[in-house]
Amino acid sequence: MLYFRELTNLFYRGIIQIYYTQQLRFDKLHFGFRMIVRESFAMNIIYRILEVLLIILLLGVIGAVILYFYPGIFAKTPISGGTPQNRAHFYQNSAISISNVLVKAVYVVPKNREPYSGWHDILAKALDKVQRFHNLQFRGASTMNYEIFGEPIILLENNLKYDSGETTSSSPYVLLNLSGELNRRLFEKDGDLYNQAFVKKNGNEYAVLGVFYEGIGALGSPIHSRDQESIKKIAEQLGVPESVAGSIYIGPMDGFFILSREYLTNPILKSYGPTVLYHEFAHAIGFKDQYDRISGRSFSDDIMGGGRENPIEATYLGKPLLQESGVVEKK
Amino acid sequence: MNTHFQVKLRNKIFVLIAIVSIIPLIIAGSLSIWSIQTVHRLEVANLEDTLLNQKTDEVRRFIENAIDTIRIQTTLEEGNVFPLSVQQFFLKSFLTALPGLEEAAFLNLDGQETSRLKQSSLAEPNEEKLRDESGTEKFSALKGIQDYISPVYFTLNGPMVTIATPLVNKKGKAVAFISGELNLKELQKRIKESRLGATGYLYLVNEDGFVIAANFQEEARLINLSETGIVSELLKGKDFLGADGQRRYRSFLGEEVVAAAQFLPEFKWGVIAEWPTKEADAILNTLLQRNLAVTFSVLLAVILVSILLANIIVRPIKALEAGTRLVSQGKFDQPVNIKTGDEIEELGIAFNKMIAGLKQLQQLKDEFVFIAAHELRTPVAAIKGYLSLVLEGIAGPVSDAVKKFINKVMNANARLIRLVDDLLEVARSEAGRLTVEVRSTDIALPIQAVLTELKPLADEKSIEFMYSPPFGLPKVLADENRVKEIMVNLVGNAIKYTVGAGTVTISHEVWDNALITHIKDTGIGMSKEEQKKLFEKFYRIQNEKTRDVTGTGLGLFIVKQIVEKMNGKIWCESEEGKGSTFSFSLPIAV
Repeated sequence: MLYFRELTNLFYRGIIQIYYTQQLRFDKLHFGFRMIVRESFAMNIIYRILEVLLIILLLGVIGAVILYFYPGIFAKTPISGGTPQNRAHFYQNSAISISNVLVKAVYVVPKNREPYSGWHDILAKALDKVQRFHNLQFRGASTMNYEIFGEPIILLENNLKYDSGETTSSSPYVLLNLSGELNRRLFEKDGDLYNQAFVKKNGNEYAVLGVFYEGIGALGSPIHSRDQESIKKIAEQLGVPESVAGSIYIGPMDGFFILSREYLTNPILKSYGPTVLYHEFAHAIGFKDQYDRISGRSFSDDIMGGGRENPIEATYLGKPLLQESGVVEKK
Repeated sequence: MNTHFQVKLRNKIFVLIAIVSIIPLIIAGSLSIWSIQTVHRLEVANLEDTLLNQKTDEVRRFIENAIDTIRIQTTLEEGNVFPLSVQQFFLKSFLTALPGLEEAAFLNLDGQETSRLKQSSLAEPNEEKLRDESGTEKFSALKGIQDYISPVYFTLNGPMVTIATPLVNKKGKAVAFISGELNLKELQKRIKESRLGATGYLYLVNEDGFVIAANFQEEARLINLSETGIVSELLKGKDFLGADGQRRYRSFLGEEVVAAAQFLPEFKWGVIAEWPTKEADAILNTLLQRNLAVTFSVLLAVILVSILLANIIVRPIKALEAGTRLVSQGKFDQPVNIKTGDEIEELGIAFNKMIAGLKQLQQLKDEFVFIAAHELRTPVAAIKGYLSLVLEGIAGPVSDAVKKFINKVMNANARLIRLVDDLLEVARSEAGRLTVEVRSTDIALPIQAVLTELKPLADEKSIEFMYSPPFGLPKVLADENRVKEIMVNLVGNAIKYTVGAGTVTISHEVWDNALITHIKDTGIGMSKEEQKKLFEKFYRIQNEKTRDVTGTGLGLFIVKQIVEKMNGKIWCESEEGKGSTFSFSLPIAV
């Protein structure tokens, strides 16, 4: 109460003082600004405003001190960078990106065979697993998608024209026999099966033709450019015997694989059918076998080695392969 | 008051008190905040470290337990192997004891699998294809007779490691090897169950920065974290423990977090705890806000009290200053009233004693002047009378030369009489004995009488009076004789201070309830400084132009006293070389 009265008195005294000091002059404000001013009513207002500003300044200083210590306002360590994405490349070749892989799957049936009932769903199911496996292994550095050609492709010849008796060594003969026909009918504009939407390839995609064959065969490979003219040179480049190298051309595809339909439906084989599918697909992006074809000796337990006959849920891509694809840093 | 001053005492005191109070307040507030923050950091670090220690222990125990499960000793000599049935028995017991073990196998010393059993085959026996593992990293490591833990590999069934251990006989020689594929789902479960507040997350990464287990959403686990947060440094072997190890950054989930991490060198894995600051600092923010509120409140109070104290301290000084101003105006009858109970009150008492003494001195002076003037008046009146008689020749013939001298004596005597009269008037005024008989008066009459009286004097200097009282001029409350005195002084001054011919114009105006009379001349005028002292006692303008003008310097003082006695006011406006206008107001008679 006493303070209230005091403050009230001060207020009235201030008003009276302002009235009587209209003629006063002073040459320095109490903040040290050197200036000649006439202490009019307006000056008194300014004088009060400056006083309030002083208070605000003091509060500001205190506020700044407090905020400095306030955790989280000023980050004590730099904010870290983002997640590395889309940096996967072809095995041991960083010039070829496999960040976006697109599998264009076709089911081909020799003229003398019948399409397998429910082939589309079986194929889609297997490709779904393979896709999940790929995306898990590459951790976002590469993503895999697939398209399935809607109808079975009925080949112009009987199976004997395309089959090879040798499949255990990734014989290219099935594809060599198939490639010309598939290219002509599927990828060329005047082909009877030509479908622009299916054969179209975006610039940043790595396209792989996946052939599911109603016959014998399981192999996969990248398709290298034509300037590597001789089969011998191609074989040298790939590190494979000359007998398993061949020259083909299939539209704008960067790689291919062939898998017998049996791997997805045979009661014994189907448990690791998707594993074989991915194994062959993995060849198309440059991965090599991690086992000796003749002795069966494994160099790794992953999908390219000892794990190639495990269910796809229980296998993996070994670290050396991921390192050579730019997914994992070499240390 | 023409005081030039620099900084008001009130403001000085305010600033000083404010500084003296606010600086410790800032220091105390800052220290308090720093302490709260430090304690909070330690508490968060302690919480995160405890969780990390617990989880790293769990991880170690889990792996060690798995290896211990498949570790057996044998009495077999080198070169001998278990029969297949025994191998199958052991493999079955491993898989049964350790459900996370997806498969197990025996390998001979050449790296060939001799038996293999899968978890799925426990219920439904299935012949497994045996592998040649002689070219694998696992077998290379096992040849050194040591346990082997592979890098984590990620399957659709979950993250897994290959564990293997030599089958050692009593001589410490390996006779075979046992390996198994261990699913880390159990670890995932344990990490997922971890709690760091309500929103904190914990994750286990492998040497490449891939998430093995985490308690955040499934999708985020696919992200490669090797270049995010503190993972890259952690995987180089650096722990982030304790308050110093604690880091704050924006996590890969986009949240500001406070993080700690621990490296597991034997597996090259890392466990990271990240706690969103929104929750981790919630209590800290509350404390800081309270601290802030108290600090600001105290600060505000300090500022208000500073202002109050400054005013309380300054108030008696201002009272003293007002007292001195009154003293400078010759007013000694208003003592200051200071009740502070300190030296300033003593100063006030001394000041009051001083003005009491001054008042007494003034009264003595006034009395002396009054008595002296009164006593002088009789002899100077007698001198005037006798000199008149001498000039009239009553005392005999007076020569022209003698008349000339006597006239000079009479003029000097007249000035002396005027001085004595003025002194008496001043003395009366100051003694409060100045008398006026106020009545309703037509002011034009005394003015015209004075103009008539002074006309000869004006004619001598060719000065023309201009006065035409307007019809219906209101009467004023005034003493007619005193009005004459005022007009004699003002018109007389107008004549005296006009050099050569000129005019003296008298006019009236009504303003509010007063009649203002202006006496405007075309005289020499005066400066602003001179105008300010015009109504002071004995003040006379001294310059080249006024050297021959005679006067006592009391006329305008007396005029002011008379005007004010009649409840009027008097003021002057003048410009050097252009003349002056004296104005006085008198209340209009109702």
